Amino acid sequence: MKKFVDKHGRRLTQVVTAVLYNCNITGFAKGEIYQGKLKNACVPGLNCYSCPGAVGACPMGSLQSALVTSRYRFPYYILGMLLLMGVLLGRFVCGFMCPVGLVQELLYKIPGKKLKKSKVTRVLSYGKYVVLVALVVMFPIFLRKPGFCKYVCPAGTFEGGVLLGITNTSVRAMLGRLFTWKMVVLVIIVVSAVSIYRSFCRFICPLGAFYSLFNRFSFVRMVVDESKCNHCGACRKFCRMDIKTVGDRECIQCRECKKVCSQNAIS
Amino acid sequence: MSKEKFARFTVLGIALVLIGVGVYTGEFVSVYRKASMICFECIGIG
Repeated sequence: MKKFVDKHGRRLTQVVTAVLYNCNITGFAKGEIYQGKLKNACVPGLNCYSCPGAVGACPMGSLQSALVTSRYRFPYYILGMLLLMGVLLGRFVCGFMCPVGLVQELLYKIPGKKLKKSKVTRVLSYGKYVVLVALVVMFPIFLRKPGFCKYVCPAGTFEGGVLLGITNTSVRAMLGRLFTWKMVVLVIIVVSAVSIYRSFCRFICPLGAFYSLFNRFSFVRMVVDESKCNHCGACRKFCRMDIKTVGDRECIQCRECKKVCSQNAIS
Repeated sequence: MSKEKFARFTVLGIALVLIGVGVYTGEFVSVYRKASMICFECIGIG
């Protein structure tokens, strides 16, 4: 049992979380979204609230929506929610509780040429902070539109546009130029995820960027026991994310590096 | 108390206060309102 949990525990958690986020099964059949009280709260991962199955609010969508009206009201509630999830879990959410991360990991399993991490990808990893500041914060405040949701978010395009569009004829009839743009972005993200491990998470995701700010001191985090560590660098080499050290801003707390640590220094 | 522990509990406190204020002022209703309707921007309608 322990072997099974060690080997498949993370994947199982990812699948269960994705199902829990989207357990409004009747919504898929009817082409309607869930309107129950659970949508008062946000789910920790990136999951579009316009997905027919979604039973919770999307943290990034809610933040942008609140910022659009922030001239009249400071977004206390959603900011509090994000801070709470950030300080409790950090980027553990990315590694274990995000459907977008799960899909990308599955796409990466498709055989083909894989692009390894490098100095270039490390630089590109700052891109997600640009997206967070420019599209999630500044765009809604100054242009009164949710920039990330509207022009980039692959979760919204697939879960909302595609899945809702299939069963809801009136939504399908309204899809136009913007949807085409979003589909192009989605295809680029999907294709890149086949050859670059979690490309969206590493370079674009503003939610990951936000959670990364708490990764060093969140309640759930990766810790290296300095008294045991011999600084061999095996963990850093083995990791497919752009980390410099275990538990830094790029670490998604997947715990894979524990397998290669001969000193058992990682917990 | 270490710096990390201090930061952890400070952020936790701030988060809980912000959520409390949001609930007290009824701001959470706007999160619900947005989430319970089809988001046209999200799905690519505009």
